[in-house]
Amino acid sequence: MNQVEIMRAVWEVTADGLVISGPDTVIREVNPAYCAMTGYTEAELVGKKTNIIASGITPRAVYNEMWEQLRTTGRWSGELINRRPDGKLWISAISICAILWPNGDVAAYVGIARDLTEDRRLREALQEQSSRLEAILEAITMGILLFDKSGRCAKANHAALRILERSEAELIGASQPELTELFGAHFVEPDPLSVSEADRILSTQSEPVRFYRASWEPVTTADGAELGQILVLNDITRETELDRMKEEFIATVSHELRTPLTAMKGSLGLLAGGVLGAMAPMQSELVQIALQNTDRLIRQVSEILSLSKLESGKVQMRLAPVDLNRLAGDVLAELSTVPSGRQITVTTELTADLPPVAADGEQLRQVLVNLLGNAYKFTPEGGRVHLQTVATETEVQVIVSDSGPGIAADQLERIFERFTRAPGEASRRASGTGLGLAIARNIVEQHGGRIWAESAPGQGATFTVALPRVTA
Amino acid sequence: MIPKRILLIEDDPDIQRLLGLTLQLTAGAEVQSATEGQDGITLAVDWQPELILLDRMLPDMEGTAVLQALKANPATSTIPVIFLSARAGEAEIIAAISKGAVGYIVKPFDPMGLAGEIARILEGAR
Repeated sequence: MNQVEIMRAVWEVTADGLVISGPDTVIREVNPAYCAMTGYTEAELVGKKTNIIASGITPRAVYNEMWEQLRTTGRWSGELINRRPDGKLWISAISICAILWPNGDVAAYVGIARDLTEDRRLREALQEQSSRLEAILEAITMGILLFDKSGRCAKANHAALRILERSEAELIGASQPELTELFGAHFVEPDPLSVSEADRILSTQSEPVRFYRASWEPVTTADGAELGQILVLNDITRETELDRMKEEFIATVSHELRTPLTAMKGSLGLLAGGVLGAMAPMQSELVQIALQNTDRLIRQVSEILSLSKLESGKVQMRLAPVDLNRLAGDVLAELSTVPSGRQITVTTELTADLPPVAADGEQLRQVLVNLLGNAYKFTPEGGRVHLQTVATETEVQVIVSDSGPGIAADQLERIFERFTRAPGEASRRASGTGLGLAIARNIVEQHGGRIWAESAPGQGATFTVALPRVTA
Repeated sequence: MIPKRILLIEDDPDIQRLLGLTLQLTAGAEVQSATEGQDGITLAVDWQPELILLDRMLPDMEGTAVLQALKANPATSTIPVIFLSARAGEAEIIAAISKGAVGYIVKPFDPMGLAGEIARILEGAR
């Protein structure tokens, strides 16, 4: 292949658009890339002036500068806004070179063009996205700081500056030791920038104390390369204050309600116990009513406090292997001693060699007391309560069934909500706070288990507690 | 059977009266009462009860501080102390026992079963 053939091949395959015109700017030759770029065929271009692709939008000053440069230096590079035959605008980066005769006259102009439209669109989209992200970053109330791989602060949003009471100049570019000192002076906790914990609570040294949840997130490229870390400071002062108020409220309620209830229960208990002498039947009946209702109120207060503690996460589950056959059997035996005034048949179907579950025995006992207690409560005269234990591949289940009035399908989930009791005559007759199932669900879920009810009105109800099997 | 000389340190006058009556009527105990922690400590030294029932929250000091003072004084260090409290949490019970109480009775209690509960606690502490 000779030199001319090589040049011809380059002319044909290059991605850059090549155009050659005479000194009068009439196009003599174009390559395929130039045709593709401009949207014209070779036949439509050759013989026409180069301004066939002009849009009329490129400022006149650009052309003036172009001709001045070509006249004085013989070269010009710049950007032009062009128009395709279908009317669509496109931007070209073009370099033009004047080819001169030996006498200095222009023999031809050679233009090398590149379509910048897509690049521009991407750049604009990127800028737009960047502006949006910047707006979001500045608008959110969480403090956000971006650290580069060396630990220097690369970005801090407005909220972060406010939280740290620092200017952008003080933070951006600060090195890790400088940042450690800065954070150390602001927060009470030692080494507040430590990333050893994914989530930690920081409190300010200055009064009034504010609390922040500090979370670290790695920043990576799409292919996983590390770019740095993001620190998010979330103001949880209000939540912390509410938690403290709730704890105080629980303690106060615990003391202030239980103390008068103690006096009421004690006084009525002494009267009912007969230590002050026998009462007339009607006096005894009234004292019993008062005593039963005092006990009911005590139960309600206890259940509200239990649920509050469970929901606030203050109850620490002490996990140990628990034999559900034994626990359920114990609870059943305890409950069967409570007089119900009704003849109820109790049957059990306990799976032999039931695997133990990892659970807090006392909390689980509460779950079973609530479920079996409900079964007894809602089972009518002559009815039955059935207790079953089952082991599946992944779970150990305790199933409590009764032959009570059953629960409507639309109530099967609702009954696990606080202060919710299934509508109906049986619920009205049976005493209860409407908290027992909410407590049971909370405890079961804190064990990683599930609890659900199945029923059809008039056909009794079945409650299942499923706890994960201990894996070896 | 429970001790016959019982000191009650409890700030609520109704609970104080009720406990006194309960222990007298159900167990034949002689009960003396103090409303504040410091008065209770003085009365314990002077009267030398066989058992002290101590409320966890008193107007002048925490029940645990009263317990510490009683245990630190040779005149009262061997007298068994049972805490009374409306706080029923396991953590509170463990904390009370670890400070030297022999047991913990949670309010509200059943008056007719109180003497039995005290007897069980003292039996378990032996």
